[in-house]
Amino acid sequence: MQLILSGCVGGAIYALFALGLTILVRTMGMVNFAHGEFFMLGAFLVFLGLNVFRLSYGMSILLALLGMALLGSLVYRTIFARLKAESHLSAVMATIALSSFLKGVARVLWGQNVYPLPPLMSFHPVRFGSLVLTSQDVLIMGVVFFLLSWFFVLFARSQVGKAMEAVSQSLRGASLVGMDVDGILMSSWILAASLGAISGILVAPMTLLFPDMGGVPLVKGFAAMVLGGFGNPVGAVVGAFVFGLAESLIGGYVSTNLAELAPFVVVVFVLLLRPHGLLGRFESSRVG
Amino acid sequence: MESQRIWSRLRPLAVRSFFALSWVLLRYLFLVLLLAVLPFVTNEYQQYVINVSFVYVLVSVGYNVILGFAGQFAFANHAILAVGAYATALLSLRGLSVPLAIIVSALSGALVCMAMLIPALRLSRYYLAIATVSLGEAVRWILVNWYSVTGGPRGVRVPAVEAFGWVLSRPKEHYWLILPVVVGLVLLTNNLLRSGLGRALVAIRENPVVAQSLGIDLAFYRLVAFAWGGSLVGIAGGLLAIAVGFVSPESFGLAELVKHFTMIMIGGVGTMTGPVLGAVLVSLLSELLRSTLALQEMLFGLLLLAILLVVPDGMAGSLQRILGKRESLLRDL
Repeated sequence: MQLILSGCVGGAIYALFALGLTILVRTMGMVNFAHGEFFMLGAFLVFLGLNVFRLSYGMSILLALLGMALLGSLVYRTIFARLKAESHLSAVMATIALSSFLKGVARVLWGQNVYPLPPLMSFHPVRFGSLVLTSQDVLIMGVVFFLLSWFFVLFARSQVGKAMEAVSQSLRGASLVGMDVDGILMSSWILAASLGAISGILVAPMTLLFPDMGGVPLVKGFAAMVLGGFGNPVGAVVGAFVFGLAESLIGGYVSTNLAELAPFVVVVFVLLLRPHGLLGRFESSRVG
Repeated sequence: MESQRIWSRLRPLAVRSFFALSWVLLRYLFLVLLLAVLPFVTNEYQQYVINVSFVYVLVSVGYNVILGFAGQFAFANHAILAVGAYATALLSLRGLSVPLAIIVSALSGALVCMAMLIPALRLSRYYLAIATVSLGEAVRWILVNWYSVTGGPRGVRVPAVEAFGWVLSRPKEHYWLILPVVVGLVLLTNNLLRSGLGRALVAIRENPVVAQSLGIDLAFYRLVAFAWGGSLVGIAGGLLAIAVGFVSPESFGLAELVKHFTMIMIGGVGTMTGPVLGAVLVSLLSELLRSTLALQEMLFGLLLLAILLVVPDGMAGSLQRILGKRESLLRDL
């Protein structure tokens, strides 16, 4: 039971992470390899707020979210707005280049050291019989549940969600019917960057802060997204929970080393056996 | 009478082609002399830098076969380089001579690269990018955790290696191994890509469906491209291990992949001269910043972004546009 619980917490984090990736797949039709760095920078901005500016925890989070939203819009304005009509190779390479650049910036500022981040709230772990629920677990589940439901409403019900769908299908078509394509794409970058930051802020107290911390979650986020079908938010969330549970159970019953290798194995095998994910539909594309 | 008339017509042509041919030969002779004289005018450190940049020429030419000519989003080049480097390092540690170790490097590079072929035939674009990035991370994970073989995160020190009875321990000695291998393989690749193989690859890259309907066997040509590109990068990995004398998992992260991207993009993707120029330029730059990973990450990230935004077809492409002529038909196809 304890394993299932920690699997759910892990799954919740991957869901948040995968959702940030999925937004950009939905709107830009591209994979963002710099999402791990959004994750890392969000946590580092909170650290900066707490330890350098001596702000309260809430203010630091606000600072981090504002900072990351700014970064997201900046990244879109300077880079991806110009690449949206270019070949896909350029856009994907650009996200890898961005990832390298942001990691380098973090390394210059914080060096190779590892920093701790205090948890947001701490009360004594709650016990239900043999189950132990830490405060951070409760927080993560709560925040993720809230954000997920908000996003599903956004995607499925609101004008913005429909506009995002339209933009992803045809840039030109969407702009022809009078949509503000740039605005929609920029807001999706802002959303993605903020989501990355939130997941970073939630995870960092449990792990530690260091410039390379985004690498492993990125692959796990891919695993979740791939499991659930590409660009499908429901699938991404389901995939994330399946993946989190599997990882926790393998780690508990078999070996933790194997659990570390699990994301890579999942990504490769799912892509080979069911390229469109467990829940994905097969979308045929026309010969261009 | 008749023959004299023909000769008087042919003579100017013969003279012209004689001079043209000797001009070409002279240029090659000059290049060969330049390369041969290099180790006599450099000190050991300069020679080391030249060696490494030559090795990267092979890396970038090999990767360009996959990325530029086959047009595949295979993002595990750093992992292939790592596998090649570790193969040579570990085998020469056990006393194997260099030619054999390099051959094993080539084979293992080709093998890893062909492992990517399975997803590359079934998946497109982003799926392949995700699968290969995951593969790259998996290789790094193995290098770090398979302690008994790879020596874990501390890496492996490569001993002085032995080739055909000579012991190669200093950069100037390494050069005589690296130079012929790199030059030979680059020329061979150049010729291969100008043959039907290269044209078929470009046709597949530009439009796989049309290419297949013309009778081009997509699976076969991708197999050849991946095997060839992979073995070139594997060999380059082996040479890199010898030239640097040390391999560790840390030096084969995503930053390394960004470096390879920069080399190819700065020169011009899908061209032959581009990756060669780019490799030399980028490895010299990275030698200047050698001590700090952070600066390398920042600089190459920024450089690659700038190239993608400002000159997407690289130096070779811009030169062509300025001179108004094409390097080859290949880019047109």
